[in-house]
Amino acid sequence: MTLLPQVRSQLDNAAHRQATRPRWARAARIANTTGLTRFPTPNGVVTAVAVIVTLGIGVGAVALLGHRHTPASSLVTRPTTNTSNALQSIEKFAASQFAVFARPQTAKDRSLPALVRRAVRLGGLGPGSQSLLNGVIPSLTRYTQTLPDGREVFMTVHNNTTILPSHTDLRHLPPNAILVVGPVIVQPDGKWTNGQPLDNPSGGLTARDAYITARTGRQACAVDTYSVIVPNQVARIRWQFGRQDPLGYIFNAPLTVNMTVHGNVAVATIPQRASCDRPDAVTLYDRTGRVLSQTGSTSNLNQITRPVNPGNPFAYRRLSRRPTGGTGRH
Amino acid sequence: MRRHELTDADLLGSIPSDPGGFAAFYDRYETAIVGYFLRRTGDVELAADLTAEVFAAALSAAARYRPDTTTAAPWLFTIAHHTLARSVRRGRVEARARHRLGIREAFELEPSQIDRVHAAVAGDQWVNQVLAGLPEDQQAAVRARILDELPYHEIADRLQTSELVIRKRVSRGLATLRERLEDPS
Repeated sequence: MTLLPQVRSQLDNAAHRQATRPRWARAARIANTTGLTRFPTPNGVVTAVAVIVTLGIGVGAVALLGHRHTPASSLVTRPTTNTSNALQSIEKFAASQFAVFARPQTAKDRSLPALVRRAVRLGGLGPGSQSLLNGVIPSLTRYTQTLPDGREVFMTVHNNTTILPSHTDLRHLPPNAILVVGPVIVQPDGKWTNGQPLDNPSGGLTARDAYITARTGRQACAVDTYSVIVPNQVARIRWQFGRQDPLGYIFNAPLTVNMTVHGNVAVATIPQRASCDRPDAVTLYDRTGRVLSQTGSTSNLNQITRPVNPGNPFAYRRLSRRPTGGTGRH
Repeated sequence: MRRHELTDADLLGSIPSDPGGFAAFYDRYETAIVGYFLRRTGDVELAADLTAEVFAAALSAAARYRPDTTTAAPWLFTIAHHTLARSVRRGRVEARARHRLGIREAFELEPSQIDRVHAAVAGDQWVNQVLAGLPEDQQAAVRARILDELPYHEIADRLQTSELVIRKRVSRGLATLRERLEDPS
């Protein structure tokens, strides 16, 4: 008797899908993989800002296709075997949604694979870690910033459903292919600083994921780096954490983290257990300081609403106050 | 030939023409893999998630599987080991292989299911089967070293013998198990 019939059923369906998958090409349909909703900004421009809101644990996937700036129907082209056309359409669309992909690719942008190889070698991560670059489209890697601890942040686009070792394989993209935008954070010297030497933050977007993250062990809360992908209009993000975290722990004061955007990605390091936390309120600003959007509430940041749970087995230390210095300005 | 009579390599190789073969492969190793993760995480839901990821990775890589032995167990457990290591390193359960296959929906385990998993796995039925037949001293050494992950010196203290002897027992026990897995007859 099967112990996990749900798993068996999912995999069985996947095996059947795999066996019947057509091999003809179709230009990528890039879909929202987060399943989060969007909300309008005051000037009526609808952005993908809500995608950001729940990215408290770190963003890995942001949708391209289905973005309201461009009707999805205009992005789905006829099946084609012309590789360059498919690639060009992806590049064009990525550039239209994220300004960082609109600028020409530099040598620094192209250095990502070499940096990853170096980090894997010096960090003793094992060759399997290089699979992080599987599916990354080489022409869509962009350097965005260097963090204070020396880690370098790149924006990438990769195919999450099919491994794409080369451009030529783009013609095998299945009709429902999903291309995912996400940061890759790499420490060139392979050292473990405020996070692991090589990371492509993703997941943790649902309550269930967050719960699993909390259960996974010390590693889960030891990762202090948050990253967020943002639309073009946003220049700064403010996260506000309440006095009490979702696990019920109480701190002396609320915490505010300001993140500056570089190349459509914002990264902040918040020490200690903050990566297990989620912001109570998120505010997005444009270059002039105007509020583009706000979600959550800032009125109850001081409130203690949940019972303290001292028996929680997933808490490794009980902090008496919030960590200081988490400005997140990079 | 019925599916349960096929070798692991046959099952994996037949997936493009007979996708149902993967379910048979899954059935063959599910308990072992769940047990592997449950022993290391102590959490059924976490073990279930990791198990799903391992089999998803196995399905993705099935076409590249090259049988060195008659069983795919070493290959599958290597995937399991890497999946666990990556998940611990990243602080969250890996889901990349499932995403590649288009599996995105999460699953919840019923309380009765959790009990069933505990009953099937926590009793170490599969482990006992595998270890059965080894001399008792080797069984104890392998169990302490491989399953309980105790250091050699601690095992030696417990069994009141030297570290060198424990190392030899573990080595011989594993060699015997390896031979059996490669040649079940």
